[in-house]
Formats: sequence, structure tokens, C-alpha cells
Amino acid sequence: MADLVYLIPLLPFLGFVINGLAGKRLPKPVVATIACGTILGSFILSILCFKQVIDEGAFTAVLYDWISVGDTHIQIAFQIDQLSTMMMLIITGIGFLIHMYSDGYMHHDDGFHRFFAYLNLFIFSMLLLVMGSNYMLMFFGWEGVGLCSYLLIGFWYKNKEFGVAARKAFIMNRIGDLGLLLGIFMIFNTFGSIEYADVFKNAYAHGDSTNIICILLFVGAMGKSAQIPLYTWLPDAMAGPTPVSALIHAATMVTAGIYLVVRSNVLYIMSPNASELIMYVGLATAMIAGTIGIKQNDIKKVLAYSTVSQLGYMFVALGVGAYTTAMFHLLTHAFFKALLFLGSGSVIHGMGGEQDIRKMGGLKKALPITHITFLIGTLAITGVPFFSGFFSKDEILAMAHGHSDIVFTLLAMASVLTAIYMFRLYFLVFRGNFRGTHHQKEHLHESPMSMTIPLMVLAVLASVAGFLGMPGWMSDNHILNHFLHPIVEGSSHFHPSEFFEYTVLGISIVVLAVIIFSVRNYYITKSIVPESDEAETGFSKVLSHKYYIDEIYNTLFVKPIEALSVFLHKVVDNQIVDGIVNSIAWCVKQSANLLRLLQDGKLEWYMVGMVAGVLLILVFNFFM
Amino acid sequence: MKLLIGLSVLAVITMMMGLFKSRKIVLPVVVLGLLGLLYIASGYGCYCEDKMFGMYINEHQFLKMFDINKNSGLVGLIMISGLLITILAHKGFNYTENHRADMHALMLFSMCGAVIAVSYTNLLMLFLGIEIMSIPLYIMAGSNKHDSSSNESGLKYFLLGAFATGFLLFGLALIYGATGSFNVNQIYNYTHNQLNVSGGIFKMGIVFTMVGLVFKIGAAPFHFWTPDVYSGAPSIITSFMSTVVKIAGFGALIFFFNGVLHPMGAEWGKTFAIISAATMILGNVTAVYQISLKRMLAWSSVAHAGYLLMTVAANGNNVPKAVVLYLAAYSLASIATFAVLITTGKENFEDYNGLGKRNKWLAIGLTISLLSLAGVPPLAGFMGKYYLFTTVYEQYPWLVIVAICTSAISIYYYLKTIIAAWFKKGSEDAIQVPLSTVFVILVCILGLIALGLMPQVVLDLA
Repeated sequence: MADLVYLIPLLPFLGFVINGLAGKRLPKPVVATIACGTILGSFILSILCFKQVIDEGAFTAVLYDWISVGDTHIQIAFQIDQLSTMMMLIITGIGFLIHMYSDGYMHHDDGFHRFFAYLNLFIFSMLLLVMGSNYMLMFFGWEGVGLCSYLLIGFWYKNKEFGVAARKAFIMNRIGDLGLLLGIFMIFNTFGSIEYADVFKNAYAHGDSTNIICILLFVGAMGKSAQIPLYTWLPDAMAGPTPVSALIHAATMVTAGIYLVVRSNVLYIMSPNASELIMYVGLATAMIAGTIGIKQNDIKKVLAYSTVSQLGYMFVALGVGAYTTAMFHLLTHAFFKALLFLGSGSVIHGMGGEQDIRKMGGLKKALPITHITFLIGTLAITGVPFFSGFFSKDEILAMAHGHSDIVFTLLAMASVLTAIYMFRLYFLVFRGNFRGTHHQKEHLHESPMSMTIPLMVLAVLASVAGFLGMPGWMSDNHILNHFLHPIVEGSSHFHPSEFFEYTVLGISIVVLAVIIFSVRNYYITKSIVPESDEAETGFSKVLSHKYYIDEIYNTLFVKPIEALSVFLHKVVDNQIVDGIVNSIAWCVKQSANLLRLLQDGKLEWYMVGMVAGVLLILVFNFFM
Repeated sequence: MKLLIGLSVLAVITMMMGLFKSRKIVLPVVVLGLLGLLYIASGYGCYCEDKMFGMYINEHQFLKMFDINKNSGLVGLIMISGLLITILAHKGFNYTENHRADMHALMLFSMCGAVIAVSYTNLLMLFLGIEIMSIPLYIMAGSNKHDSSSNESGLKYFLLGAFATGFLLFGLALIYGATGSFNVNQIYNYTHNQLNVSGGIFKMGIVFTMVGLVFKIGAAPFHFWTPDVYSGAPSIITSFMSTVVKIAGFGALIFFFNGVLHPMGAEWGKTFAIISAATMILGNVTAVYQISLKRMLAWSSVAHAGYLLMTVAANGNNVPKAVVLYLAAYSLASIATFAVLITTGKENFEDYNGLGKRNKWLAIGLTISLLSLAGVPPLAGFMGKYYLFTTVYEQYPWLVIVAICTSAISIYYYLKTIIAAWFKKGSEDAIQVPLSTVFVILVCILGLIALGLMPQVVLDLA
């Protein structure tokens, strides 16, 4: 298997090359087959890797030494262990389903081949990110997914707003990347290597510098995983086609930050301060994004804020040292959030491009499969017992409880928020009466098979994935904890009492029932439709304007930087820098002109020149 | 040794084929022959070569004068470059339809000399190698009889070459006079034992040898012939001169100064540092003002000789691996650029305006190879420069700074061509590219990318 590992990222890359170069001339089915086929191939190979890891344990496949200067060796090598195989399965598995879905969703788009080429490139980069055996390869993948995200958010580049959203995402990510890069430099400086194995082996010897390294790495994670203060790009990223939102901005790329922290858990265990920071940032993000989500009226924006909030959850788990729990929630979240996004894509597809939930309603009849699967997704994310989200979310709550009661309480409130905005979304979209135009009503239709099959597969996964990590009162065998144990050996585990678990279970069922009932009562029985943005007042106005964060960033950072850049452009660049550059260029050109005269084509002069050269060398060596 | 005999026999056969007018099969025969020889050179032939003509090599005076394994990396590079240029010659020799076979034969003889020049262990062989390599070149440079600039180029090269050969021969004779031997080991011992030799004869001999060798690679102030000869000679010959000949000349030079004279390295290093700096500055700065792509490439080859000379100044052990990588990157990129030049048959920058529209693949080949020459990551040229600079930095930091500044200048004239190819408007007639040329360009591009991504592989081979 180790000999074939390189094929896993290579296949999607080949798909990118073929579709990128020749896709324009190939018929659409061929393009789609190449794109999906390569991912399926990677998926199958990933399963084989997974099997080998289970049977024989982790291994590293070294391709070749990339650079070796002095004592520094940088390898192109893949580390196939429990953590990376789990990520590989998520990336290629969900990736394959979403590729299939995209075949239907993007079928009428002119950029069909371009879309698949980018998507394949994304999978390649993401695989590189999780498979690399050192921080450099991870950084390559990290930048690669950032690029693909940028390209795909701005996929419909003719729309200027989408282009702006893409740029925003890119810049926000760059800020994070700077932190990550500094972190990697620090690691290299401290440990003299960026291979995971070397770094983690020597971690204890350099305990004092891990805090700053961890914080810098976390800044990188903040950017990619949309945490406060760098989260504002993710809701705007919904400008991209819906499959992109499902794959990149819900299931895979945004979890890269989680992966980074879990991968480096050896370092984080030794830096309680950094962990504390992560926990508070995650908690704040979960709360703030949850409250904003309640007031959004764009179906994808609601899901986007929900993603930000769920990522906050995962960071809380990381902050309290529950690394496997974070991975567990990452897994279940990948399933149900991809499902919800694809479901919303199916709704948008059926509504002819409409995304405003105030103009939907009663879609249950026209889109039966979408309705059922979306409902399952909603039940999973809100944590209705025995759906996947229930297990992972309760585990995070339990871990938070083990840490402090305040964190637990706030986090529980955030989960109440989740239930409110998700059921609000569900009822407004699928129940009640249709509020769209007559024209839309006539054209309502269920999506084609290529779109509904992924929905059904994901719905099954979102329902049952939770049983991978059953709590203590259900079973003694927490499969995921067991599986990931070699990765997080150093971390401690907190086991909540059974009494606590039953209490939480009971309370959460009651609270959920109350929420469902009151949300239904508010939006269906009283059939209240959310007001238009202008009509909002008071705190709900603040919420629907997302706490004015974008405006604040605009005044605090964007405007001053723009003013500064105008100054730099007009004065520093145009006059000082250009002046220097131009005069250097002028000097070079003038001296080139002079030197050219030496070369006048006359043989005699050349000989004179050579003899002069010989004399100079002689003088230099004999008399100086 | 088998390689040398093989090359000579192949050359003789090729010459015969010209006699029997079997023009069409010349190219396939030469290509197959070179492939076979490459196989021999790749290690299967070289390492089992302690016996020859029924006697052991160490016992035989003549056979002891080479050691092909010594610089196997450079020998391989010479063979591969020669092979690629031979394939290019399919179109490149169109100007001399009747003398194809002769030209191929001359090229093979010249390669023979090049192999000798990088694998000598006796200074006599150094001289013979350089001459066997150069004399066919004088003919080849002037081979386009009806073109006066080709004639001029041949004559200039011959006259100045003869002048430089005089220095080389005189230098070697003086060294013999001082040390009493042509054998490199004995000269090494001589230098080693008498570190403070201020003996004028020996020193004078070294200076003259230096002049003769530095002339061949076209470093300042012995570079004057380079632009004239390079731009006057037929493009295919220029590509041969700027790759194979440069590799051989440089291989000979670096082995002489960093191998044979290693104990005196520090003393001569300073001279080379100055020559190197002067060459880099002169080559890069003058290249800026050229209006002909071919002449620009000539100046850029002068500049690259300057970068390479830094390693002689740094005086590492024998031929550092960095040099092999750099030469490989440089040769592949040069061959690809010349392949484009040969296909279009045009020399001025203006003729390359809008090349991207006329033939996308030519333009891509040109772009990648020029970017590699400029040293843009992740191409081979970047890695080559990177390793070169790191080898030199410890001893001559100022030299590396000069190199970096002049590299920055070089980006200007390399990009100028790329901009012309993609963004300027020009003729829009499509250009037909023969399959042989496509093959060569493809091999070069893939090589440049592969070397950039996994340089270590080559460094381990060398």
C-alpha cells in the first residue's frame, strides 16, 4: 500500500490537469466522469490505507528528499496514520458525493469543465494538507485550498459582488496564513526540523516556546476555520456555487484549522494558555454566530453562520483538550452540514435560483426527497437524540462541563440558538404556504437523481454516524476514541457521571420539544414572515446587521489601510520607489549602452582586450 | 574508454554515410548510436572497465590518462545535451542539406573532445580534449557558406581560439617545466608539498592555463568572441556551443583548479572571484540592450559562465554537485530556447511578438525555459542558483550579493521576451513545428520542472 499512497493526491491532480487543459473540448459527461472517477479512485485507495492502518498501524511513505542543505532535510513524504486516514476518508468520500451532485447542479453552466478542474485541484490540495508528514507540505496544501476557495467563490466572476466576496475570503485567509507561517518558522527555529515526528519527539525539551508557537498556529486556524475575529469571510463565501459551499465551506476546508490543532496536540497539551485562548475564542464564536444566524433570511447564510458556530464548538472541545471529541464533531458535522448545504442547493435549484426564505414555504410536497433529507440534517445538527449530532454535541458539552460550569452553560445556550435558527429555517422553507411568485410555483420540481442520491447517502450517514462515539451510559466502546488513541496519547480524558448525562439528556429533550413547538407556533400557526431588513428595530436590527462587524472592520481597518495605500501609492511608490527603480534602470541601460561599445566587432580590439586581461591577472597575482 | 571509442567509431561511420549519400538514415543512426552510448555511460559500461585490450588499465600508460567515472555527471550531461541537439538538427541542419552527415560527424568528434576534456587525468589529454572539441567547432561555426555572418563567425572563432590555445599550450608547458610531470596526481603532490611555491614559472603556467580555459567558457575579459560567434553561427551550432562546449570547458576548468590545484585554492580563488563578478555584471548588463534574441542569449550565456565561476572561487572539493545541477538546468533551458529559435528561424525580439497566438506550445516552451534561466521557482534554474549560492556564500558573501543583483537585472531581459511572446501584437500566421522539435522541447520542459521539484534526485545521481 505504501507504494501506492502517492496516487491518492495524484489522481485528483491528474483530473485537474486533464479537465483544466482539455476540458473545454471534451463533452460534459466525459469531464464529469474524469472528475468523479479520479476522486472515486482516491476514495478506494484511502479505504485501503484505512484498512492497513487498522491492521498494521500507522506508516510513512517517503517519496523523495526535496531539499537537503546541511542538516536540514525536507522530505516529500506522506504520513498515513489514524488522523490522516480519517480526514482522507471524509475528504474523498464526501468529495465524491459532492462531485456527483455537481454534475446535476452545474449541468447548464458554461464553466462546467472549469468548475470540475478547480474542484479536483481543491481535493488534491486538501489531501496534501492532511497527508503531508511535515508542516511544509501542510502549508502547501493550506495555500492550495485557499487558492481553490478563492477561485470557486468567485466562480461566477462576471458578478462583481461575488468577486469582492472571493477577495475578502482570500485576504482574511492571508492574515491567518501569516500567523501559520510565523508559527512554522518558529517551529523550525526551535526544533531545527519541521517533520511532525521530529517536532513531537522533542516537544518536551522545548516546553517554554510552545505557547507562542501554538498561538501563532491558532491564528492560522482562525483564518481558515472562520473564528473570531477572522470569521466574516465565510458567510460572504456563500457567493460560490452551492456544492462548493458544501464541500469547501462546510465539510472539509474550514476544518483544516481543527486538523492543524489536533495534529499538533502534543504542543497544545504543553501550552495551557494557548488552549485557554482557543476555548474562549471558540465559545465567543459559537455564541455570536448563533445569534446572527437567527436573523438571517438567506437560506445559505443561515447555514454559513451555523457552520461558523459549529466550528466554534469544535474549538471549544480543542481548548478543553478533548481532541477526539473535536474530531468526532468534525466527522458528524461534515455529514450533516454537507447534507444541509446540498439540500439547500436542491431547494435553490428547484426555486430557479431563489435564496430568500421569505419567498419560499410549503416546499414539502414539491421536493419530497429534499424535504426528508433536510429534515434529517436538521434533526442531526440540533442534537435530537440518536441522530449523529446528538452524540458529538453532547460529548462536547460534557467535556466543557468537566472544564467549567460557565463554559458549559454558555455552550448549552449556543446549542439552544442552533435549534432555534435551524427549525426556523426548516419551517419557513418546507412548511406553511408557498410565498413565491406564480411563475416559481409552476416550475417547482424535485432535483435529478445525480443530486438526490448524494442527499440520501449523506442522510443515512448523518443519522447513524453518531454511533461511532456512544457515551458511557450507552456503551463502553467509544469506537472513535479507541481508533484515534495513538494520535492523542498525551491528552487526558474526562468522564462525566451517568447522573449528569441523564440529566442533560432529559433537559435537552424537553428544551428541544419546547423550541420546536414554539418555532412552529410562531412561523406556521401564526404564519409570521420575517420582516424586511429595513423594518427591523432595536436589538434584532443589530442582529440582522450581524452586529455591524463588517462595518466596524471597514472603518477600523479597511478605510485607514486604503487611505494609507493611496498615500503609499502616490508618494512612496510613484515618487520614491519608482524614482529609485527608474534611476537604477536608467543607470543599467546607460552602462549597457556604453559596454556595448566595447563590442565593436573588430578582432584586433578583442585581442588587445584579452592581452590586457592577461596582464591584469598577472599583476594581480604577482604584485598584489 | 568504451564511450570514447564508441563516439569516435560512430563519428567515422557517420562520415562514411555522407560519402555514400545515405543522407536519410544519418539522423536515426546517430540518435540510436548516442542512445546506446548513453546506456554504456550510465554506469553499466563505466564501472566494470578495469580491463581493456586484454590488459589492466592501471598498467597502461595511455589508458591511465582518463577517468570517465571521475566526472560521470558532466559526461552524462554532455551526452544528453548532445543527443537532444542531434535530434534538433533534424531541422537545424536544413541550411546545409548536402553536408548533413559531415556536420553530424563533426558534432560527434567535438563531443568526443568534450568527454576527454572533463575526464582527463593528464594535462596532455586536457589539451588534446580541448583541441579535439574546438577544431570541429571552427568548421561548424562557419558551415553556412552562403551567409557572410556565419563565415565571419567561423573565422573570428578560429583566430581568437588559436590565440587562446597558444596561451593554454604555453601554460601547460610551463607547468610541466615547474613540476616535471603532466600527471595530475603528481602536480597535486607538488602543490601540496610546496604550498609556498612562489616559483614564477609555475604561477605563470597556471595563469596562462587559466586564460586558455576561461576563454572557452567565455568569461570576462576573454568573452569578446562569444556574442559575435554565437550570433553569427547557425543557431543549431550556437546551441551546441552554449551547452556541450560550455559544460566541457567548465568541467575542465573546475577540475583543474578545484581538483589538481586544490591546495592552492584560496590563493587563486580571489582571481576567480573577480573574474566571476566582472563576467556576471558585464554579461547581464550588456544583455539588456540587445535587440536580437540570439545575441541576448549569447550575453546571457556569458552571465551564466559568471555564476558558475563563483564555485571555482569557492574551491569546494572537486566538482560540486551544485554545479552539475546548475549546468543541467542551464543546458535544458538553453536547448529549449534554441529549439524555438531554430523553428521560427527569426532572431530579433520583434519577430517573437504574438508568438503565443501563432503557436501556443512554442510560446510555452520559450516561457518556461526563459523563466528557468532567470531562476524563477519552482523551476530547475531556481534550484540550481539556490544550491550554487549556498555553496559560495560562506567564503564570498559579496560575490553572492553581486550574483543576486545581476540576476535581478537578468529578469528584465528574459521577461521582455516572454512579454513579447504573449502580450504584444505581431504576425498571426501559424507556425508548423516538426515532431522532432516538439519532442525536444517537451523533454526539456519536463526536465526543468522535474529538476525543480526533485533536485535531490539529480544531486544523488551526480
